[in-house]
Amino acid sequence: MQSLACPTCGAEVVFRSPALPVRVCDYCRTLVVRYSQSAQAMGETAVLPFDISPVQIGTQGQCFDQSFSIIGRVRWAWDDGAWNEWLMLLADGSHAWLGEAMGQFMALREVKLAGSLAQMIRRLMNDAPVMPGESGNIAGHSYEITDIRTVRCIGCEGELPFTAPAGWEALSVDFRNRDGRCASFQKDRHGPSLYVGHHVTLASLQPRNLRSLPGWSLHPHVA
Amino acid sequence: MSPDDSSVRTLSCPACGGTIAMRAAGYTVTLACEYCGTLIDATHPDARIITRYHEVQASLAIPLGTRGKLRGVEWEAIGWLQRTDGWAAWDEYLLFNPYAGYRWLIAQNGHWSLGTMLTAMPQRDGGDLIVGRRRFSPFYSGSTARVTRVAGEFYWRVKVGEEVRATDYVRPGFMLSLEQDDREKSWTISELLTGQEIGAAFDVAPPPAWLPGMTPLAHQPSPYARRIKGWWPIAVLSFVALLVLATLFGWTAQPQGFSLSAIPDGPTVSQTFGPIQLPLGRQAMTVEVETPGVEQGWVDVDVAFVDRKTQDSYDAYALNEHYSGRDSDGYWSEGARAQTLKVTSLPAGTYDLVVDVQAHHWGSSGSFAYDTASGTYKAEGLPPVEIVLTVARGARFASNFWLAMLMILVPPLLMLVLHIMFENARLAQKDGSPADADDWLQGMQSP
Amino acid sequence: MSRSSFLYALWCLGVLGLYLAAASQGYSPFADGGRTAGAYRAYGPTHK
Repeated sequence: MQSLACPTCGAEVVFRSPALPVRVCDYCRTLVVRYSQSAQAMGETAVLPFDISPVQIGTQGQCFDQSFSIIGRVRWAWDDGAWNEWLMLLADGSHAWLGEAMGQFMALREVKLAGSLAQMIRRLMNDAPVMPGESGNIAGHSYEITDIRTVRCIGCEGELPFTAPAGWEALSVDFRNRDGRCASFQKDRHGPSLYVGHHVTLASLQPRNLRSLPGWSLHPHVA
Repeated sequence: MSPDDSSVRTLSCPACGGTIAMRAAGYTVTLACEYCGTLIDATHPDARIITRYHEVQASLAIPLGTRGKLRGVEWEAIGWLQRTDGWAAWDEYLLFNPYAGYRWLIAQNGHWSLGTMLTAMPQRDGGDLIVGRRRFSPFYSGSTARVTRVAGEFYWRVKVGEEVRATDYVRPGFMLSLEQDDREKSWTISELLTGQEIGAAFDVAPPPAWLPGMTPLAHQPSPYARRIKGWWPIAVLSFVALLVLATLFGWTAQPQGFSLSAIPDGPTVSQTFGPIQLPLGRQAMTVEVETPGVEQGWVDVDVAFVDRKTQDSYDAYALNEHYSGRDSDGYWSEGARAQTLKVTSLPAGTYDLVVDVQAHHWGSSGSFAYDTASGTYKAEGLPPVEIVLTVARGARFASNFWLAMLMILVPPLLMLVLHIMFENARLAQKDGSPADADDWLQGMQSP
Repeated sequence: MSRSSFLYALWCLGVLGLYLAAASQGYSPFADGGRTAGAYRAYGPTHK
């Protein structure tokens, strides 16, 4: 939700949804109108949600049979949407990524792009086009491409193992298979990288210190 | 692209600068100044945004921002879109809970389904797909779903005109949908919700009951299949009970034999036999009437049980006959020389059996003589016909048994007919190969 | 037991009850004869 200052009296006016165009200020009772491109196009186009996530820097939990702590975030966007990638610091000192998109979570660890690689990976590394539905083997399991996008980094926070350059763009490809495993391929100016892992639910991470969101009680299964 | 930039401003009365009050009634919104009463013109840009939002909200079954508790989780309906595949149109609502993620509510023809996006791909088995332990059969293929209207928040910026290629698989109560375009491929399982469940969560109208002539949804389970499955053990039990009752009551006992004879074309012979004792409250009686000697003629036997005390009469009659001859096909014969009569509900008492017999023979083999009594020529010299009667207490009414059987079977048969009509209408929508035995069997499965 | 199964079971009980009532009275709607005291005498086709 978005907390804005009432233009008339300065009191806090909360817009719970980015689609909501008008609210009455609780103090001075004037109509506060939230004017945006998307609100103009109501009926024609959707609005994107506010950038809120149940995960925050400092959230802790269990993943890859270890405890982890969230220490950083990168936000990626394409023309019509965005997602978060949270950096996990595992108990053994290594890093992993928690991708959060459409309410679904992918826990991924980087793997070396070496040895025999699937056709589809080679083609991606050579900038050849691929289509959703193509499949191949990654690290001993068969995966299918589910998502292909060109994305832009629109924000970073916390501790990251790199410096995010301005205008950072990348090709991002997601894979998934029948067992709930997933993978992600990324190629940018610096080269390709491959991450392998599995889908998790927020509850299965046994999270602690989640962001508390006003108006929402913590889900019964989640701490 | 960053989340859309928005600016906020106050809407105040252009005439006096006073506070505007917003009143909503049905689809319309009025924005009027509280002090001077001036109405904000509908073409004012801020007024346009407000009224358009309100109009959409007023038309939705679940207005955006509504919260509801479904299966233990509180969800907020944050977005709505309307899609069509060229044949049918349906509404989809995006439900959101920050800790539980997203779900979809799909409304079609008044029925509501809860959709969840899958994170693992389904298993393939022949043409079917398997998710969890549920098997789905192909139903829709080659269709394109296009967005026709959209409002509110979505995790991607949905636009009117967006298209995806859709393939759907079904089992009773569930639909597994694959949607893909050039950039992504996603699977969703939707579960048909009961009227109680969706009504309790979001206070929407209950789904309409199916009537012959309506087309069920692809994944709508047949309400008749459930009933047939629940009823057939009851039918079997009833059949067994009926058999038991039939054997208990279908006895005959204490046969008594009587006989008399009559001359064909002679006068009616009337004879009274008895006593016949009926000790129990109400009884049926079986009378076997045999006329072994009848040939080329008939014998009409009227029997009457007459209660000695009350003179009430319980009647029946038998017509025994036999004809035979030769023609181009050989020997033929027709007629019955024995009949079984069943007389119902005789009260206890002592009865006489009054028998009236008349016989006739076609074609005479004797000589004619003038009978002064009746004034006609009558054949004489024909041998008498013997009538043997066997009277027994009780009767086996097979007709009662079959009538009861039929009545027991009528409701399940009716359910079967309705189930066939339902499944026919449902499977008629199927794309690809026409519905086969597997599709029908699957329609009988429990969700 | 669902409501519809309960109602069907009631229906079957009713049918069995009717059967029992008829059988105990020695009654059948398909019988050849019954009480005709004081009633009309001619019934059914006569082959004469």
